[in-house]
Amino acid sequence: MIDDWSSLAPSGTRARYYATLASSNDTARGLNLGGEAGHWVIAGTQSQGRGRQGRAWTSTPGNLYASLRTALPLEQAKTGLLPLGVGLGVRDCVVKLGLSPEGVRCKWPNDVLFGGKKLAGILIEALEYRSGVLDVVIGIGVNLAHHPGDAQFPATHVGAHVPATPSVRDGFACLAGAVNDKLSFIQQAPVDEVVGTWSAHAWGIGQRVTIRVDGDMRPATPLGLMPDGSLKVRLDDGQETVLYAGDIFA
Amino acid sequence: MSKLIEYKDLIRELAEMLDKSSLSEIEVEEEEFRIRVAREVAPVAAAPAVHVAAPAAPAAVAPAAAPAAAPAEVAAEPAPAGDSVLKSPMVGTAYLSPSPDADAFVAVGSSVKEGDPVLIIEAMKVMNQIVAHKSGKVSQIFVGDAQPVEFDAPLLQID
Repeated sequence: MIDDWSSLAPSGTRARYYATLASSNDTARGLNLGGEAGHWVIAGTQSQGRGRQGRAWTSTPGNLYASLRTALPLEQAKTGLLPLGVGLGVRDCVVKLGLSPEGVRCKWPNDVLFGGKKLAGILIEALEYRSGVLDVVIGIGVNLAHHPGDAQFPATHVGAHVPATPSVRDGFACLAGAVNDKLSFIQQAPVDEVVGTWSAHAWGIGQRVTIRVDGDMRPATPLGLMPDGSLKVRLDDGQETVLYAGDIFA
Repeated sequence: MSKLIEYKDLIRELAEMLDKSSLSEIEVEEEEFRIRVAREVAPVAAAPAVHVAAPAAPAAVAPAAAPAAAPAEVAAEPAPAGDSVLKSPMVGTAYLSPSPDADAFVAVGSSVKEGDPVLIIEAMKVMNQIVAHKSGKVSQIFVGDAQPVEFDAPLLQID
C-alpha cells in the first residue's frame, strides 16, 4: 500500500507513505529526484531498518520512520553542520508534539534525547557533493508510540510524556515542516549562529561522559561544538581533542 | 659498492634538509651521479619521502658506478602520485563495506567505473559515500576498515 502524503510536506516536496519497506533510506536512495526539491519516504514498518554502521533499527508500527532525499545547496564549510541541523529539526518537532522544551536535548552529533533518554535516531547518507549541492538521504526514526528496550542508550517515546500519542501521519507532518525549516536555517544563517543555536539545546556539554572512539571507551568532558560540526572534548589526562566520529554515553 | 655508503649519507642529509625546508624536492647532480629527493605528492602526514634510506633504495643508487649516462634517480618507492590516487575529502572514519557484515565495496584487483561507490567515510555520523574518481582497476587500498583518515589522505589507487 502506498499513499501520497505530499500535502503534509512543505510545498515543492513530495512524500509517499509505504505500509512496509525494507528500509526507508534504501528506497529514498533509489529515487530519481528529477527537479523536485525533496522527496520523503515514510515506512509504516521496516523489515531491515538500519542505524549507524548497519546496526538494526527496531521498526515496530506506530513509530515514525521517514527518509528525505534531497539535493541541498550547502556551502562546503557547512556540510558538517547538517547532522546538527537535522537534530535541531527533530527537537523542534517533538516540542511541537507536546514535550516540554527544557527536557529535549540534542546529543552530539545528531541524537535527540528527552529526560536523558533517546527519543530519535538519525542516519544521514551523503551520496554526492558537487558544485555546492549535497545529494543526501536523511533518515529519521522517532519513537512515537513505543521504544526499544534493548537499545545501547536508554530510550523513551513521545507518547509516554504527552496526553495522547501522536499518529504517524501527524508526527510526519510536524517533522517534515520542522526539518525543512532547520535545513533552511543551516543554509542561510552564519556558522556561529548555527553553532550557538545547537549549543543552547545541547546535552552533555561540560559534563563528565564516556566517549567511544574506534572501539575504545574513555571518560571525557565535552567542551563545545566547533564551527565545522566536530566536538571538542577534554580527556581525563587533560589533553584536548576534537571528535569527528564516535559516540557519547552518560 | 664502496660509494654506496657515501650516497646513503648524502641522501640522508638531503632528506633532513628537505624535512626542515618548505621545498618539495632537492636535486643534486655531480659528474657521475644525480640524486633527487622529493616529498610524496600525497602526503600522509606531510612527511618527506625518507624512504630513500630504506634497504631497497640503495640499489637504485648503485648504478652510479655505471656510466653517468644513466643517472640514478631516487624517487622513493612508487609513491601514490598523480590522478590515480583517490584522496579523502574529509576527516573521519573509513569503512570499506556498507555495513559490518556486508562485502567490501572493492578489493585490490577490482575493476571500477567512475562514480562507483568504493568506500564510506563517516564524519559526524554522516555516512559519506566516496565514489571512484576514474574508471580502472584498484591497485592499492591505503586504508583499513574502521580506520581514522585525515583530510587529503590517500584512500585508493586506481590505475
